[in-house]
Amino acid sequence: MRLPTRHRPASPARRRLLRAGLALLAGGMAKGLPAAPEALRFGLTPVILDDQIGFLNDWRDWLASQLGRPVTFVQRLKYRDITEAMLREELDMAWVCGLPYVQTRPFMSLVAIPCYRGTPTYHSLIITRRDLPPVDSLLALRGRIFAFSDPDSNSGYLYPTWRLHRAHTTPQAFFGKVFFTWAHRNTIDAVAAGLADAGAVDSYIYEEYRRHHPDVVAGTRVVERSPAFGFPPVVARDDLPAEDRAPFQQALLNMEHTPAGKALLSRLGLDGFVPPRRELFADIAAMWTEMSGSDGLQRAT
Amino acid sequence: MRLSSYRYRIPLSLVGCVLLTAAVLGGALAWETYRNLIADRIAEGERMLQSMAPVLIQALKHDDVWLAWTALREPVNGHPPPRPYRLAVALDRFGHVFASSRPRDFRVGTAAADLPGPWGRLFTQLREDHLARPVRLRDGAYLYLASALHSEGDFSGLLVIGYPVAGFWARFREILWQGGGVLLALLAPITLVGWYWGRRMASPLVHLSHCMVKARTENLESLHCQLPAGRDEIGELARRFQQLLAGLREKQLLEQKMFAQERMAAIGRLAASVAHEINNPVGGMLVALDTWRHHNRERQDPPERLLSLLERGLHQIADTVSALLVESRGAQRDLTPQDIDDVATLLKAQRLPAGAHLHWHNGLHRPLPLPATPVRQILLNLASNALQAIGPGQNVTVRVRPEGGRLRLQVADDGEPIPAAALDTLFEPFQSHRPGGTGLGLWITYQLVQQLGGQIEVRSDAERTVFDITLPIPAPTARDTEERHADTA
Repeated sequence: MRLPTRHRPASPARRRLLRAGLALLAGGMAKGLPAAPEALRFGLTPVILDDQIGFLNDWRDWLASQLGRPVTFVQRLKYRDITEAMLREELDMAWVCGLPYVQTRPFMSLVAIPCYRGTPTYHSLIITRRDLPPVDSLLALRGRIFAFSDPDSNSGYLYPTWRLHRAHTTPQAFFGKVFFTWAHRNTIDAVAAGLADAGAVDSYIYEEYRRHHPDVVAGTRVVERSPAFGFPPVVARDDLPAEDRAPFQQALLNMEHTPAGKALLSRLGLDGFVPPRRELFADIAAMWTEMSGSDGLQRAT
Repeated sequence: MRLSSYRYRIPLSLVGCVLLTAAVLGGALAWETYRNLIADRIAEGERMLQSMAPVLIQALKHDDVWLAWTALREPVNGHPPPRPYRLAVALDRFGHVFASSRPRDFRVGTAAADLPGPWGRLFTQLREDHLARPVRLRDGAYLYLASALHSEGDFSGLLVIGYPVAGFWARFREILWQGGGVLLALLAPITLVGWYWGRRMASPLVHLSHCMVKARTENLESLHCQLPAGRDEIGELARRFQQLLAGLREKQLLEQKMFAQERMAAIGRLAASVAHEINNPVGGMLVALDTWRHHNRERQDPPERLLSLLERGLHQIADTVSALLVESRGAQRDLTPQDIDDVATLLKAQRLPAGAHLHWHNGLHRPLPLPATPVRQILLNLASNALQAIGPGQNVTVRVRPEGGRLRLQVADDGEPIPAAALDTLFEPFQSHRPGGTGLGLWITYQLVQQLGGQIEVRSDAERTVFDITLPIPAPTARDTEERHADTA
């Protein structure tokens, strides 16, 4: 069970209390599984600000009403946990990063791609602490403490590692210290607090975080912006029956055409969902292929 | 307001005791509170070390800086924590900062030895000693609690929590302010009660003291005091004072009786001279009448010379008797010039040694608001004494005149001086300096002068003996003025 960072309190007692509360909530979700076998199981990763429980409940209820069947949201700490749950058929669909999709393409099919600011793409941002001397490139950050989000994240890991690979170095060699924060928003927190000097984050999360917490984001500065990549897509197990997959896809694509769906989208900061376009992920796949031949990628423990 | 009065001293003392007790108790409590505050902080810190340790061991094991930071960081939800806040730092097994609650001050990867403060020392000590309990260290502005982290028996790092001492003081001041407020709220009614109680305790004493002052200035006969009655010392004092007052009243009555007796005795002494004074004109008149009858049996009308002689003789008798009558009446009335002349009249009846003279200067021309009887008695006593002290050819001079707001009586003689040794005891009772005296005359004179609030002085040398008396003339009250008007009318 992953704890949303924003609500992580200092005292162990409060943390225990919160954990118990969330466990109850999760228990409620889990109870839905055996009671309603027809429930659609949807996995979420930190490709969105997944700590807005009120929003997630509203979205889940909206989807259920559209599908005419219960929907269960499943959240995990790491991208890999969701990917593996998909492979074990514990989930029917998931909203994942472009990299896990590329990695597990043989077993996944695209359902829909979010549309952000008019295009179904986003960028990887290299950010630094605001109080660091301004630089204009990732390559000017030698010796710094660098925060990655998740080893299975494109914007938060693959792209910056690939950039260093092209410069014939590795993160371990180039930076003074690297660590994973397991979520883009954690990376922003770490850089703003000075725990890390710099980090790589998803541009959509960065802007959304700025919308919710401008004070935190103000402590950071963007020094490099990657080319456009396919936005983290919603995928389905490739063996999911069409009668489960098609209504879900339709519901997502129709979201922007219903007032309730539009309201939910605006809370997410997205324009809507567009039909699958595999070519959007070609660049990620190319970087992945280039990197998987090298030792440059660190595997998460 | 006299602070020396018990009316204020007792309540002030009680209030002072209350405040002193409160201050001492408050100080002791504050000191205990401060100690508890630190003890609580240490206990809290030790609990925090214990609860953080498993997460940090896990984070160190997996090189998960983020996880460690989530355990160490300050709460970010809601309001920012009050400054200065606690400090939490995790060092890895090489003594490098792994994560801290203040990443800007304790940068990830910095060696403990390079950090300001006791970090290098703490690290070395804890890496080498396998202490189960956390180490406590006061260094500079912080109180540090440090605990070694062990994973499967191996030293895997160090966790340190630092509490700023200024934080204790801030909290302590806060507690002091609150405690002080409560204490003041409690003290206010206690102080009021103390003040009231003190006033109550002092009131019988104050009452007694007032009564004693009144007893000195007011007439004992009309003195009415509600004296405190109690079983305590003040009650006892009051009872003794009552007895004293009763004694004084008795003494006063006795004195008045003695004054009256002495006056009558003086009149008695005068009576012989008065009788002689009357007898002389009477004898003269009888002889004159007898002579006239013997020579003029047929004549019906007495000659003018005889009538005039009789008239003068009768006037002399009338004057003498009326002076004596006034003397023995002793009624309370204002002093008039006639009173002074009356004394002279009475004294002239006394037989003087050959060639001796009584010079009488009455400078009083209008009545004075002084009681006539005691003034007459003072003058009579002193002048008769002086007349008895002179021998042939010697003189007694009496001067009476108002001087400013006072009446001055001077009785001087050039007779035998009073021995120096006798001067000291002159006004004491039963100290007669002449044969046949009661020894009360001068004592009574002295008492009368005292009662009138005046002064009496005696000078005696080879040339003369002078009794000099000044009596303050009371300002005439409205009632006095009215009465005088009524009298004159």
